Amino acid sequence: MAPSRSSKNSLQSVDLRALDYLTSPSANLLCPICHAPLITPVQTRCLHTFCSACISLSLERSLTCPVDRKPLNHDDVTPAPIMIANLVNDLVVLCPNREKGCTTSCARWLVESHVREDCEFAAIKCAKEGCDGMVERREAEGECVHEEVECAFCQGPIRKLDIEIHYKECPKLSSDCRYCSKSFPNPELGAHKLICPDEVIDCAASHFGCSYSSRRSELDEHLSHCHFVALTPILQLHTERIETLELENKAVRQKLDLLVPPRPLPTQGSGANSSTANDYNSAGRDMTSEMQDYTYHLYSEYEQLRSDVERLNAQIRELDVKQDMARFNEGLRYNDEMAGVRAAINGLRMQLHWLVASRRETGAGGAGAAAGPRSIGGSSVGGDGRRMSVDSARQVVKL
Amino acid sequence: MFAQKRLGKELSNIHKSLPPGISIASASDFSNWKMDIQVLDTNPLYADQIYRLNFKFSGSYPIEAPEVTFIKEDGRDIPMHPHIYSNGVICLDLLGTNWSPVQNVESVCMSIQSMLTSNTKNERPPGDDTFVRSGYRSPRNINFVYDDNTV
Repeated sequence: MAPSRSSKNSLQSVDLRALDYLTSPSANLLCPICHAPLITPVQTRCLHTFCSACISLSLERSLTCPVDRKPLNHDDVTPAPIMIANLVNDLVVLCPNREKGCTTSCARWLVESHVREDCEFAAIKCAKEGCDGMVERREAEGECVHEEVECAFCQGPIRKLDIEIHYKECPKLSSDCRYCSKSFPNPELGAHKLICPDEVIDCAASHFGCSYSSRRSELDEHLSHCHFVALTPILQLHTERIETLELENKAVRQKLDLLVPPRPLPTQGSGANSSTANDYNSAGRDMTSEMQDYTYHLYSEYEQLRSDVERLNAQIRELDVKQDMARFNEGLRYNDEMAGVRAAINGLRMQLHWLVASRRETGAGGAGAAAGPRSIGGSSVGGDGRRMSVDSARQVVKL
Repeated sequence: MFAQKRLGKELSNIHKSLPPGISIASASDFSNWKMDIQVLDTNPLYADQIYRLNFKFSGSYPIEAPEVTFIKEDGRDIPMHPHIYSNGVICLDLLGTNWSPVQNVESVCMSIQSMLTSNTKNERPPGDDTFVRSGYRSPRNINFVYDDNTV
């Protein structure tokens, strides 16, 4: 009878925080505290979203919202909209038993049931009754490997799980040497292998080309007259010399690469050089070496100039960046000041308007008496209207 | 576990990009990082100087603030600032009572960078001598009074 489903469930718990995601999720789904995709998302009164565990840890330390520092209580934290929870729960994660070999990836909300019920690599309780050992699910079908059996040779109690390893070490168990067919206790077999007289081994000078191989006990005779062995000290010496020379050669080549620029010297320049050199050495001496010295000198100077130019370029770039930053900062400050000045001017303008309006009103009253009733009505209405608009503008400024 | 996972993410972001004037000096483990910062404008107090910040993370980072101090190392000096003691301790509310777990290494570096940029006073905090002599190295044990809002 197949064991019931419940006994095959894994007790291995899944830490959702430790999961790895198949693709890096959108930054909008990350908790601002742990920078990982939200787990049990909750929302604050100020509408910020966090992992439930993260925000409660943060609130233990300080009763403010971590994002905008507004006062925040434990009661102000409510579950986030289900849509957010669904978005993060649908993210595809890799199975936590990936290191043991499970290649499954599934939506995050499925991973717990995958480990509990399906994952071939999850540790589940051994199916045998009374046994409290753990075994990976893919091996659960076999018999219990945790019960102790007696080693057939040393009579010691060994768990079935470990018996293969034990056989290799059991002192009572002997194995035959592959070469001399003598029998040795297992722990000594390794040591014997190194000295077994019947093992077929290569000549000591095999890496210099000797192809002779024979049993260890007979090899001594060969060694006494093997030409390769006789030459070994000299061959060894040569190998070492070649190695050091190769190293030196490499170093010299690197130096050469540094000295000789990859581009050939312009032919025109070299022609001019040679002609001047010819003038100076009209005696016709052999001047190749002198010429070469001169060329190398030019090369090196040219290289030096080039590196100088590169360095200067870099400095200029750096200065540019610095200047940009400085200008930007200055600009910001000026903008602020401008805004302040503009506000002040606006205030002054408002006051001036108000003053002019009130002055005009009193003036209009006097003038209107002389001019007649029609103009009184017109100007006073206009004055009132202006004053009202000024007053409302002033209130706006105050706000 | 929590702190390491988050620091790992920050580190990979830092390796991707950093704002100008901030660079990483060393981050070989998840308990101690060193960052180099540089003031980029022409403030004569800090022109052409690079300063080194030492970050110490506890196991409860980012819930708990990291310990951030300036250190003298590799010829880097302690910047002159009325809120920075000569032993490198920084008096900044963001690193103490006003720490928020939303902040990260990059944002702290930027805060300190702007704190230096806006400073014009070439002085140490009052009582610098006694403070340094009293041997406090860890900012956690100090109850700063964040009284000065001008800088």
